[in-house]
Amino acid sequence: MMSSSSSWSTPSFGLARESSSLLFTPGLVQHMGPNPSSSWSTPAHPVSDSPTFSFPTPFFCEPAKGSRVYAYTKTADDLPHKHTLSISAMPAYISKSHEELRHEDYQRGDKGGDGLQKIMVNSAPVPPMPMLSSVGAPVNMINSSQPAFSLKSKTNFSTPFSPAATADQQSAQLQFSTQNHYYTSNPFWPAPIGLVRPCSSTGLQSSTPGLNCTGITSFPFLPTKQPSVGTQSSTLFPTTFVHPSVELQKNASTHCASSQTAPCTTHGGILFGTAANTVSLTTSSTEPTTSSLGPTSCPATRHGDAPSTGFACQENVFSNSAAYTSTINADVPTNTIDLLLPNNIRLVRLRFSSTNDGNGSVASEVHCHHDAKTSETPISLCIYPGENQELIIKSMVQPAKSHTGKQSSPTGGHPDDQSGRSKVCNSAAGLPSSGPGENQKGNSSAGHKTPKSPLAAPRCEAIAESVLPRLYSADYYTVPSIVELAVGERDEPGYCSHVKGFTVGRHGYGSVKFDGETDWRRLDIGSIVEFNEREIIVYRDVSNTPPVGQELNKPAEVTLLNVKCVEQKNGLQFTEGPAVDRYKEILVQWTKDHGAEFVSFDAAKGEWKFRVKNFNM
Amino acid sequence: MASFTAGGGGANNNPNKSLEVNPAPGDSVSSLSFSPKANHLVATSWDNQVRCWEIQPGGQCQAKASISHDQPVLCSAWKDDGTTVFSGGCDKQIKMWPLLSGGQPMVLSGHEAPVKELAWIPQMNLLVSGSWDKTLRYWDVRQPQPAHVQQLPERCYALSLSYPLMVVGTADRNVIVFNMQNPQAEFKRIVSPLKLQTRCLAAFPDQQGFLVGSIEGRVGVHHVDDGQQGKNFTFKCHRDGNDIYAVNALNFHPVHHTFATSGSDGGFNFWDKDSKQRLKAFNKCPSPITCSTFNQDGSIFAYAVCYDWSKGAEKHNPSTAKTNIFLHSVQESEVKGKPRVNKK
Repeated sequence: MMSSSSSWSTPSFGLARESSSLLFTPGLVQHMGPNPSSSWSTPAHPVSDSPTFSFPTPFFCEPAKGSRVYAYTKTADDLPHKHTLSISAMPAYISKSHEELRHEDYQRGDKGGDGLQKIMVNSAPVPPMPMLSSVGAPVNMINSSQPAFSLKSKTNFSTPFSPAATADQQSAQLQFSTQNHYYTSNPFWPAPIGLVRPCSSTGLQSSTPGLNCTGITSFPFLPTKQPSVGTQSSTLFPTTFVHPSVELQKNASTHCASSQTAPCTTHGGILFGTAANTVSLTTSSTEPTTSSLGPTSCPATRHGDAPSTGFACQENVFSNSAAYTSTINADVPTNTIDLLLPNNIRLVRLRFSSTNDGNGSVASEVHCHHDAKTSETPISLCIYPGENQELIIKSMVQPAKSHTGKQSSPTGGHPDDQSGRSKVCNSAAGLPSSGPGENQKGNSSAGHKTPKSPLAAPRCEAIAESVLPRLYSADYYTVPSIVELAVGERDEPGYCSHVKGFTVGRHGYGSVKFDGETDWRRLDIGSIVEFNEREIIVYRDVSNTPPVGQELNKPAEVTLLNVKCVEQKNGLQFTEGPAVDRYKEILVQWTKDHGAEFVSFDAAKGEWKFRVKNFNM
Repeated sequence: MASFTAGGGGANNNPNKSLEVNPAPGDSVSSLSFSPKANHLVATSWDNQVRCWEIQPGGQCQAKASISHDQPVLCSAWKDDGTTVFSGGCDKQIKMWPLLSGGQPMVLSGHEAPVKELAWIPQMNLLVSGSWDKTLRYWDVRQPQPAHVQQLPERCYALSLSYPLMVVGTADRNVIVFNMQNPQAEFKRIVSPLKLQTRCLAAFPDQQGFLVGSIEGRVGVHHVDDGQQGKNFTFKCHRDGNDIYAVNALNFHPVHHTFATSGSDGGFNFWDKDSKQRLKAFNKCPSPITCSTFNQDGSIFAYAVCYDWSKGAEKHNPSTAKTNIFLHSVQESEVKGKPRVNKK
């Protein structure tokens, strides 16, 4: 601004010297300082002073107020490529807040809008002015022309280039003044008058209007006069320079707007993308958490809202803990069931005893059971040395399984079948025994089957997975054995579905032989048949019992071992005599009362046989 | 709280699906404040109006009443009994509006420049106003003249009160701390930890310090006691790539004492200063958020989306600009502070 002011003052003094009027010098200086519009009013100065003085006032206020004094731009931050967007970060507005600037704009009636609109509005009134001036009276001409100049000045002020433009216009105007004087003294004066017919009507009046007419009409003649006068060509150049400035301003404005708009759009897209990803991550991290904590609703509720990764990790830990808790919880019901069932069974057994027999019988039976345990070893050792092997096995097995359950009792008997079946049973019991046992038995069939085992082993696994029954306990056995079933199934597919006289037993406890043909395919024998001390359980869980006639719920002959008549006083076992007869009668009655059929009782062997129709009990 | 998407095509004006307050003011909103006693929301606007809505349990907003100033209104405050609203603005006047009784507002004159901030001090039964005339004035509202005039070094840009702590932010980047038990003396004068113009302040609910937000997209957490300077820190927010937006508002949650920031980028976030974490980031609105506030129990967060003059007049098109006030139903998980978890 200082340099601009200096350049303004020089032409001003020059003009003053030309006018040779000392009286006007201070006025010109005063008017030139604040705004360039004074230069436009110079030709009119001799006519009127008051219009000139009225112009400076409004222009003084404009540069100091509002957010348009300097165009908005982003402010570079200390960090490279970073920009602070707030207008209050600009050096020009650093001491003004958003609200202060807005207040200033609102006070001036400026509530926003594109700067270009201002320029358009300002330029609109200009075109009609020349027509008015050419038609109106001399006084009207002066008044109407000055407002037009004022509007133009505003236009200049609204651009960043206004100081330069103002200086250029100042120079242009001065040169126009010079040119006017030249025309006045020029001998070619008659020619221009002749060409401009509209001016001729006012030519008859004072010389001042004439000068104005000449000034206005001189524009069209510039190209024509250019070659002949050096001054004219220098005048033309500044005029041309002004317009490109305006265009540059417009382009700059457009560029600025577009450059600011595009990045915002791009960033906005990125932001939304980021936001979407964030939401997605949160959602995905929440769902697995909820799913993993499904078994426990309370932890899910507590942790479901935690969005942070750290919490997610903790949730996983908690989930593992919950799973472990679930495992513990799963064990408790099982233990509870185990603890409860034996008690129930024991009670049932006792109740049956009291119902079936008199007081003496009850006492006798109870004592028999008790004493039988005490005397097992010594009696067997004394009387039946051959059974030492079995006794050893029993003593090893009993501590492992101490369950005591109720017994099933048949009634009636078939003495003729007794010895034959007994042999079969003993033979089966001997199979898994040690070498001496086998040698002692001299069972030829066992010897015959032994060589086949190694050959059948590889195929056994494949076949077993498909149809063979399952039996995993070592102390249980079947007749035919699982290996024999596998061989049979290989030779004759479907063999397992119709096995005759299939038997399941437990060494030292008893066995059960099913009548007719039995379909054993895919049965889990270990979970169906259970032998305890003087007790057999088939289909422990009533809910798993199939209808009568299916699977193992069919007629069968049960053999229970370790059933002996023992003198309660001295622990001696009776193998014959009145005591044995009485004991046998008790067994007969027991089996009859339980819907079974008594078959036989061998006091010497401690073997009790009875038949059942099914295992629904 | 019911929520729905604002109607109309084009860009999503309500990306967070907040409840919209109708009817919207005719020009930008300069302040929002909730009654301490009920869900009455007051908004001051650049269209010279002060409006009041009642937020009903179902989420509907019912316009209750409005008054006018002669020029744009800049600030508002409620009396602690919820019966009176104070508003101040560019007409240099403070109006005391007995909202519930429906009487005419009373005028408090004295400021020589627009009134920028207002706060009611229930313990002293005084109203304090901050102005661009570089003064604070304390008013006994039963008298037309201020009870006390406190000179400030520069124009008041921000003010926050958590009795007995009051902090005032001025144009020269000073934050002046007052102890309301001795309001006539500056307790301490602190230069803002942020290098650009102060835009908003929030005093800690525990009166240990204050938050200061600036136009450079940064918030400072500052303690008053010299012994706690080690706990001071600043953090960046409201930034988008290389663009740095102003922080327009800071609000503490009344129950959990976490806080919200709202910015010129159109976004608002919830933060926990104790664990130095952001608790919740929300989607950005298409226009700046000029002001925001929590209601008395922290269940509602109100924010105004409109132009904040951050890019001057030339970047603002009043014919297409929209002004909206939204209500966000606050979830406890969004505002409840949580200790920082060490990630494995």
